[in-house]
Amino acid sequence: MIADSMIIKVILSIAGIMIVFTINALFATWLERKVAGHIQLRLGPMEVGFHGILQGAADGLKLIAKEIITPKGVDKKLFTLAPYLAFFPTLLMFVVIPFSDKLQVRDLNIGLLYFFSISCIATLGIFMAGWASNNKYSLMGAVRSIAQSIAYEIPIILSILSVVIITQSLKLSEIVNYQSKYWLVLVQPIAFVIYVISAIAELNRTPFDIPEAESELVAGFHTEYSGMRFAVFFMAEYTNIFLVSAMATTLFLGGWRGPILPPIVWFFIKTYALVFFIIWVRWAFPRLRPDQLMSFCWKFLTPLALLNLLITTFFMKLF
Amino acid sequence: MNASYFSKVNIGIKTVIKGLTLSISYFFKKPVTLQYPHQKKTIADRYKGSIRLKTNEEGALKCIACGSCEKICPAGAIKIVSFTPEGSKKKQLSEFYVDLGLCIYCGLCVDSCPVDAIEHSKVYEVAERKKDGLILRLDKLGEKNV
Repeated sequence: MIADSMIIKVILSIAGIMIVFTINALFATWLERKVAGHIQLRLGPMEVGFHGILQGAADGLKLIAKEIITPKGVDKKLFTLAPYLAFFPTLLMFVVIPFSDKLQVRDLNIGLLYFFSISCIATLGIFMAGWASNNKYSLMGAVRSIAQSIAYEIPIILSILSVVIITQSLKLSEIVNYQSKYWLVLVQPIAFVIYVISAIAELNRTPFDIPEAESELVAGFHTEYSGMRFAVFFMAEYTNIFLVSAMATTLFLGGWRGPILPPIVWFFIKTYALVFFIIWVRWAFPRLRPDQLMSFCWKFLTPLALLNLLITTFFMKLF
Repeated sequence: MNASYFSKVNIGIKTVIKGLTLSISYFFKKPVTLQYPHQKKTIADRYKGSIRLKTNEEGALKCIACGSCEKICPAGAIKIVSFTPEGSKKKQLSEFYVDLGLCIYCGLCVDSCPVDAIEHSKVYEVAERKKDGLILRLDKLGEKNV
């Protein structure tokens, strides 16, 4: 009987994650194109559905219908496996996200650690794609992606470490409960800023998009991918945007807490506000050079994060 | 760690704020583009579109089939077929073709016409699926070239 209810719970969780994942992939791509359009004084997609809301579905259908091409000279096993290795961690990362007080697949004791360690696996998928493609652009993109991920992992971890020191927990539900009186962004504004900047860098998005810099690397690691395999990379990218925003909401913006509206609505409002911000940043700034990117991380973000951590620790000891 | 490091950080923060405010101000501005098939730009009065034949008050073509437009056309896009009815000295137009694939929209035919029978229309959507579709017969009024 207990086993049965466990199985049902697992199936329901997978179904729920897939629903959130699909709707987000469609909505986030639509939002990106709309925001991009309006910032450039255009309207963006307008033809499919109301104000182009179904454009993502139409594009997805087109990509599914396309032939899957495996170019000559690629490492077939790795080439086929890579998109899925970049994609499945994003589904696993959903497990610890607290959508509301009751809606969370697993409330792990080390939820925060789990989230950030799983997110590292996706980088391996990107590197596999770049290596297996047997193409200089893909390989350059993958190498840059690895360098960037390693560099920006440090400020991101240091910034969430100050949250952990304040809340004394790695459990996400406890971190949200700690914020019942005030949001942690009020106590840790610097950590929040560092987290958002590093998260944009981790997502390989403009202004930190050197791994897929269109003007120099064609499309970076997914140059050789087309059809559904490309779509998988694409969806993983947009799911990652949602996930880092959801994590920022949980850690700094009080999670699902908020007046009047139900918790889950508050969660999605806060998350999509951050998604909007990340998209907005993309259309506001030009791309950084690789050396600027590295010096920004090592000479500015990391010392600042360390300093912030030091001050946080000092005050925690004091009071 | 010298003074230029902090001044660089200062400039960085300022430019980040500037970039964000500028792009969001554009976000709330009215789009400048037109949704083309649904909205169309108003065409200027003197726009030189594809040519068409004029008619007089009774609705008959003004063209006297003199052939000066055919002669002056630098691209050889116009072809006129005419006939002379029995008991008359005047030629009459039977077919007037213009090949839009050859036409360079120079307007010399309009200028050269002695009876002011040709004019530029405001038609600019002249794309066709087949090359033959670009050859228009202008003496048959109606349909596309009005």
